Amino acid sequence: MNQTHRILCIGVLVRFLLPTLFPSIPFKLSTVVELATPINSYTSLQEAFFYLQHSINPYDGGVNHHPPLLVAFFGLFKSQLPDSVFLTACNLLYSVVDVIIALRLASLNRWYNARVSKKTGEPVAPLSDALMVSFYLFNPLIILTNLSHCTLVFSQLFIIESLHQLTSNTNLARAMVSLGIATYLSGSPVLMVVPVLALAYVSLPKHKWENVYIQGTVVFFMTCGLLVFISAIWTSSVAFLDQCYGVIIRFDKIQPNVGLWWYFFTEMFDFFTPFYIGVFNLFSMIFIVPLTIRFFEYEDKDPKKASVKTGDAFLAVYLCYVWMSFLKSYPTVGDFGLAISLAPIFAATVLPYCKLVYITALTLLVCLILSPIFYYCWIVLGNGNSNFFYSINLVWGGVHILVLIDFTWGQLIREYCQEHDISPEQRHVIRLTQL
Amino acid sequence: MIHQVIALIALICGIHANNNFYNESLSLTPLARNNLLANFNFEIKSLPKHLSYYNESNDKDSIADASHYTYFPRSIGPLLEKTNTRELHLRFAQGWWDSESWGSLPVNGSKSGGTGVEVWAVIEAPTSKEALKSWSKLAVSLSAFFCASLNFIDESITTFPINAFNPDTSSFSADPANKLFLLRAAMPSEPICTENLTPFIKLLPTRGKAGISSLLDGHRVFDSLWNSMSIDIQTECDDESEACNFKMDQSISVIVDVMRSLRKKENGPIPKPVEGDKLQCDKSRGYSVWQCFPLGLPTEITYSLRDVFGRPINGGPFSSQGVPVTVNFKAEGWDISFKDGMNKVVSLSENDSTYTILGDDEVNIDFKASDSSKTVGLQTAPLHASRSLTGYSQDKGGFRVVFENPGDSAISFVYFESLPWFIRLYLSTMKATSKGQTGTYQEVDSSEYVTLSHYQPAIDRKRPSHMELLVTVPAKETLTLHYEFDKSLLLYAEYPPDANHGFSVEPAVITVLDTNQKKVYELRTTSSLVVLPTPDFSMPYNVIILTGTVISLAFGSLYNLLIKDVITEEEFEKFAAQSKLRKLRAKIKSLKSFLKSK
Repeated sequence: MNQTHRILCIGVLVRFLLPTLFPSIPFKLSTVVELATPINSYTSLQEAFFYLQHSINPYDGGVNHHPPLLVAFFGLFKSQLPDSVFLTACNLLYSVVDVIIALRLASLNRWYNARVSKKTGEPVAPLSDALMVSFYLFNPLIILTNLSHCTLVFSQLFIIESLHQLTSNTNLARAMVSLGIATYLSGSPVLMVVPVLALAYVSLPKHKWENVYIQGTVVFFMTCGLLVFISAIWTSSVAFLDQCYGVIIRFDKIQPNVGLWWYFFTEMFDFFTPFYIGVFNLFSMIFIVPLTIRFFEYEDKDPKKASVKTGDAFLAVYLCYVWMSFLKSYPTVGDFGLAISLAPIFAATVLPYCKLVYITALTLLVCLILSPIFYYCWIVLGNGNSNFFYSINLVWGGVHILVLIDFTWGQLIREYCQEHDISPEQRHVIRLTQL
Repeated sequence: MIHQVIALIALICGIHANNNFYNESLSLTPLARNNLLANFNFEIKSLPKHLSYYNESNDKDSIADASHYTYFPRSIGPLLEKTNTRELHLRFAQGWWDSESWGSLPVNGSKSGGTGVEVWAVIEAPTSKEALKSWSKLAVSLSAFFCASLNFIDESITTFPINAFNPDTSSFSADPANKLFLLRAAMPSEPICTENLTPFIKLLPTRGKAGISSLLDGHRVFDSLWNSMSIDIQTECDDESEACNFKMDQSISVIVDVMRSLRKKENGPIPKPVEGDKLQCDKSRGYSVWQCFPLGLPTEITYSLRDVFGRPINGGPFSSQGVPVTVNFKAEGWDISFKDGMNKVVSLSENDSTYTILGDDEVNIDFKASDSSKTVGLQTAPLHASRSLTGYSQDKGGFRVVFENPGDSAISFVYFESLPWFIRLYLSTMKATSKGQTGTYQEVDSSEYVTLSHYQPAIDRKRPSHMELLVTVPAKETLTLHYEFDKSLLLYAEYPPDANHGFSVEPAVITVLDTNQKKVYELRTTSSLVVLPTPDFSMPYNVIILTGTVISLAFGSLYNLLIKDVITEEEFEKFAAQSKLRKLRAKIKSLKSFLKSK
């Protein structure tokens, strides 16, 4: 048993024992606005089981927004197992999901750093597996999200799985199927298709661009279509489309969360709402393609040309993920939690050039401390109002912006250094700017 | 004078005054603690007529012909025909019925409403969409008619009850292809007052000028501990002749605090502090200038109907028609006598407790009690129910419903609850506790007591949740149900002006069934006031500006980073030196130094 295994064991124990010994933990946590939203909370999943048990259509109402196959998957166990066994099985399932994600992150880390070493010709030392795994498993945001049994973790599992399949397994079809499932589960990962395909282009060994893009897109949409089709057959209607994805597009399940939109649409004048719904949906995808193109890894026949060294498709995936987490309709801290746990992958590449890490960390800390306090003041004590909580939402958005610009600028410095063959000693002295 | 006019109208209509088309009756019951329960009942029938399904295209003449209404209010009849309403029930109620000390509701609760206004109707229509159309038409008309905000009834508060309001009669539909739809809505925050009573009285052929309706003075009716007005209209059809007539039951029940009425009569409407020498103190306990333990309620009291309602009964409804007035009392404590205009006095006895008022003279009733605590009382209620809110935060809460069965046999009933959409109910959280003979609460499996006979979850802004539970409570047991909900945030414009006052949740309706599943008793819980989270109402522009700032900050900084060239600062200085602005500045500088040197 090596160190990684020991860390995995502790991680599992925290996730499995706590909710098994205190079964009320997931139910209590799933009502915390920072951890779960009506779209992905465990409480509404329970309600969906209740509807199934009493043969009520789970999509004829405003409580359940989980996709049908997820409900069916859980419902199957729910109906077969006694209640206490089912809850324990759930705890186990969530623990296993997190372990898989942690292991995948470790392998992504190895792959990325090996690739960078090979590409640039300068060996970069990645963080050890044990560190990578513990960055994920002991990330408090991830632990809380997992304990709240928010269904977001499944969506994250499939996003990470998709990246893993592309990189370590170099299997495009499986990767796109995974991403399709992630999209089916929570809608917004559809934005990740673009950077993931760009990553596929560089990570697959022998490839033609037509094959990668066309195959990838086709497999992705086939998966989504198939899942939707099975769901439609299972619920014998298409009402779930509106309940699961319409809600995401329309921003209309108004409940406080860490995102920017709930308060915006609460306060918005009726007649402007459709306009802003359109604008914000566009805005949420506006930087996906630019980021992907800017950090695209071009190939050149001449390996000595400087531009071969630049670009970083994996960073593009990461930045797109942060962008998605920033502008999601119903974000939780778990979305950003995964972004934090992914960041150490760049420990030897981009992170050394990041100048705002300290400020970002402090801002994040302020958010995490003040958000529950302000919410409590508003909702329970009544001595604060919604503006307090909203202000923290804005700062939360600010944290995303800081991460985005810090990583982007870090990568730009890195590219400059690579292009101009600046010696490692010079790299941290050089002062760059933009024109 | 008015009597002659009414009699004349009756004659013109060609109906004998003593008739089957109009009846009224009054029953009075003194209750413990010097309260008086008064039940006013009015029955009106229209003449039989062939009823057809009305829609925009078909004949309007059938409605224009109004000869069959006679006593039946001409204002309501065409409305029913135009909206194809086969049954209409309206309830206006206020106050809290204390079932533990008063007993069961009058007429087994079938005429009593919950707090606010409630309306349900059976509407004939080919589809539920058509039914909803007629329903909103009906609601808007009734709103204007009864001065209540029934016009706010829309899809978002309308339910189609299944077991709860079993309509007892009339499965009549004019067109056999059509279906009958039962629709219901309630407005719990509607204040009931005189402006609702006036149109109610106007429906009566006596217009409140004669008969028992002359007692109905708004100031007195609404100055009661509890009051409930009801209107029930049904369509009665003869299968052979295929002719139908409307039958309307109107009733008002009030519980009057007699002591308060007497005090008001003495002191006027504004309460005054009791003067020192008039204080009734218990002298056996500590008693001094500074100390006074008040005595209990007086049991030896005398009052008349005029004291309670402000005026006597203005004779029978029509000159030749009498009105029976029943007083339920105990002879050993009470002496009840009727006094008419000629000062003729008739005393009632316990066995013969009904007096029929005839003629046009005013009639007053004197109540004399040597011991007013001796009352016949009302039957014990078969079920006590109460519903309360749990939780303390604005974003979630729960309902705790307590059913107490005081009887000696198990009781089963339908629990109907419709909650507004902004309450996101989690029925999976339902827990039951029961207090049996042992007197301690124990958690029990809710499925042993409760079956979910119907549940339809709410849809945001479109449909309320609609739950019907079939509950059985064993003898002498108390069952408590608890379930939780989340409260949704509304949009800025959806909040009423007094948003922090809270939102009323309509009373739950409980229909007690006997072994044959027939309705035997009906009661309603109180309404509940739910406080929702509120945004800051002064913020719209600020929020647009601040959110806009954050997203433009994100856009601007990323956009710059992605499209600009990366250069070193030295290079930047060089480029900057060549810029026009720099050149201009350099020129100014040189000019300055040039001027200085001069």
